[in-house]
Amino acid sequence: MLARLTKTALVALVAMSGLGASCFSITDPFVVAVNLKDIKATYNVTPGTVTFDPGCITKNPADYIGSNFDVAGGGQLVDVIVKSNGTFAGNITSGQIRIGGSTQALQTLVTYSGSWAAFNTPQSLLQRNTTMTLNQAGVTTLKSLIQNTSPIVICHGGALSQAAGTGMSIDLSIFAQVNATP
Amino acid sequence: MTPGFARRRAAIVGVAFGVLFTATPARGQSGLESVIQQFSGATIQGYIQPLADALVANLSIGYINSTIPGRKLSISVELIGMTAAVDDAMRVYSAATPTGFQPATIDAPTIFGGPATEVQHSSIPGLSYRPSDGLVDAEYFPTFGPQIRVGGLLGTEVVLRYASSSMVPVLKEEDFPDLTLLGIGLQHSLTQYIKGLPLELSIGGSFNSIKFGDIVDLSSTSYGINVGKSFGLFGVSGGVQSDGGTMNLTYDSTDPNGAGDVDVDIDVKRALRFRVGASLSLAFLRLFGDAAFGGVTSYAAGLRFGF
Repeated sequence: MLARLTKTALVALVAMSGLGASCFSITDPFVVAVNLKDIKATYNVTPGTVTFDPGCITKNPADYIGSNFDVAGGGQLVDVIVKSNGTFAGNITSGQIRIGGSTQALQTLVTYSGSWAAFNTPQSLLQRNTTMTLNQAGVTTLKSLIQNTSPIVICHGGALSQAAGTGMSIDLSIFAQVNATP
Repeated sequence: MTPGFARRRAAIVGVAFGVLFTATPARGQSGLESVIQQFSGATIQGYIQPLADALVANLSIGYINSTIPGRKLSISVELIGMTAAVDDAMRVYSAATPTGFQPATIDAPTIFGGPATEVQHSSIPGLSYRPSDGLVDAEYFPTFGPQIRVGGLLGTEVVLRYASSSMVPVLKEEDFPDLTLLGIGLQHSLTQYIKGLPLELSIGGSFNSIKFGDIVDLSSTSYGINVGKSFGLFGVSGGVQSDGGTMNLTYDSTDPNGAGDVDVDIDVKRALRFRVGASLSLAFLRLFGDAAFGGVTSYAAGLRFGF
């Protein structure tokens, strides 16, 4: 009797363990919406110029996504933020952010305009306090680049309503995600 | 199923007390760490709170396996498994989207919530946002561990629960960050002071700690009162207990709205739960189990070897 009860008890315990294990699994694939880092740069504006074309920067995959992730497909552009630095009484009349895999294959991502002073406070697509317009071709290009973990070339330029003074620069920051598995 | 996933699951199963987080071979960062880093300190709570709740619910039970502590000196080794029921309310939370995004909040999966979906901005075509998937797909969230029980100490039993991933040799540190579980429980007989009670009466309490890598540090306490009755080989008990705890998270966030070092406490609010338990004693073996019902329902089952 005692032996039978013992055996029954052990079988019950093993069965409960198996039940616990079978009710549990890790989500497969487990997709993390990874915040891409450091897709940002500061562009200096040359004093005395009316148009500014401070050039392009390149962000390599290692700059914006950790090596511990495998891209699973899909990405999101969440926001683009522009901030002006320095004092200037005029306006930005045709700010333009272009993006691509190389300087020969650029698409406009965002155009913007407004008073330089307004941009002293960071302005973004989401906040919509100033005129910032998103271009779909640029969005498609950006998503393609990050999904393929390709280098991203970001070029920035525009015009001012009067000649630039000294100490002026523009910060650009792109908030994007890529869907990846750790 | 990919080989990597199979390895991960093997590693998971190998951890006897299984706080079941994925690990990425040779990369040194677990799935849990990877997803937590996407949140700022202000936004992590909704995702991780159900895990803290489940862990506290699990760790607070499994200490009582008799109606009352014995009067004779005893020592035993036990294997104990606890599991918390994951209900629908623990799978989804209202997540804030990035500042200025519309909609401002969305239903997003918690750590138990399964796949997430991408959300388009309601008025700016081209902008979208996606939360991360839930890491764990479970109806029940288990925790396991060995424990040692010493009884007969002036009507008191002391239980020490300890486990570490370093005790599982198949796990490599670079694949699976250190996981340490520590618990201590006490049960003290009140019946010895009050003669003539129809039921056996005791008080009990426990302190528990679980650490995962450098980012998760959870501690909890529980205390309560128990009544019980023995019927030969069988014993039944019940009682009420108060459980609560804190999960501390320390990590480096990549959230643009709150990037940088995060050190945040996730509170598991103290709450009452009602406990029922039963045991079956078979010579040097005892099979025991209990269940606690409250905000989170959890169950424990164990096997005791000793005298």
